[in-house]
Amino acid sequence: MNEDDGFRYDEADGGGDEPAAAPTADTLLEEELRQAAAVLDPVPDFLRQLAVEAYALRDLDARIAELTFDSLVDALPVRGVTDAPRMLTFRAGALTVDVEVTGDGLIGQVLPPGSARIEVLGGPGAARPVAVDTLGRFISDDPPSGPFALRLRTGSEVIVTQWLRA
Amino acid sequence: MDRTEVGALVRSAVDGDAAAWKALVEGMSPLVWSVVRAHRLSDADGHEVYQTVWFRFAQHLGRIREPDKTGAWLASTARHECLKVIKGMTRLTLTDDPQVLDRASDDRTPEQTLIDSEEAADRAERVRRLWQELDELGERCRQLLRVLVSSPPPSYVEISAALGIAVGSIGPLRQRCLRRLRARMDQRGAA
Repeated sequence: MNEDDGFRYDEADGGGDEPAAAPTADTLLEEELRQAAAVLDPVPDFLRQLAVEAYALRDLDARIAELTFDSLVDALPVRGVTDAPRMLTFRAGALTVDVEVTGDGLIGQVLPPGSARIEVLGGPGAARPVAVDTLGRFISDDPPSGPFALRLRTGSEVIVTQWLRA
Repeated sequence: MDRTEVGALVRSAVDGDAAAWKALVEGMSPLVWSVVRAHRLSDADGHEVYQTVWFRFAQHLGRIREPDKTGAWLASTARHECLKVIKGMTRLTLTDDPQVLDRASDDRTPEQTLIDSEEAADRAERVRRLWQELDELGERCRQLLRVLVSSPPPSYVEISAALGIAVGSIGPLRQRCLRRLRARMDQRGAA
């Protein structure tokens, strides 16, 4: 992408000093564009509906485990490795959840180790339980497609990981 | 949506008012969508980013520190998720298919078909040309104008969050980009 490609016209034109009538013309053109956007590139209805239904995802009692590491952003690429798994770390207080997302599914670990009940959420109303061992290691052979979150129940506490696109 | 209502709607939604949530979705969806479109994601990626933004917003509802700045929160979240998609594509080189990235912007929608009635044909043609010129305007102008013309008009703080540009540079940039677009339209009209 050429960062400068929007400005050649202005440089050739001298730029800057427009007569007072210009704002009106700008406003009119902008309004025309606004109508064009509404007609030619509207928010798809099914997406808007999903966002309305997402109200069910508010969970005022759960703690949120925020994303603290994402290999997509935080890791250096390894030369020659083009299909490295996505490594994610979520944290809520002293609790950490490490997750590895591959084409085959999810592998993860709750720290400190301990048993928990874990579900993979895929959107409003979509929750699948995953198998967890007594040390908090879990595995799912169903790779998440699109946005997902994990809901963990440990003892009396409910923790949900920040929604993320797999 | 009047932006001054947003904070009150968020507070109502926190208190369990589903209608307030729906009003937020109606009022702020075009801004979120415009950020997705400004980053030229494929449809599938764009749809996922849009959903991720709203799912995360629902999740964080009640923890939003400044409800009045919800628009900027949504725009900023959308931008960061778009940048992640782009970063993931670069690293994996999964899709460098220009047809995916530069999808034609003149797909026909029902709304478009509707305005294609005979008396509206000229008007529809100008709208189509305008949209096409916008698509070819250069990345910075195209991005700015795509977000700027979402409905209702976003604030400069929201545009800044959506595109990672300073608030103070939006006004001058807007003026240049609109002038440039107008020149292209005039040129085309004369040809």
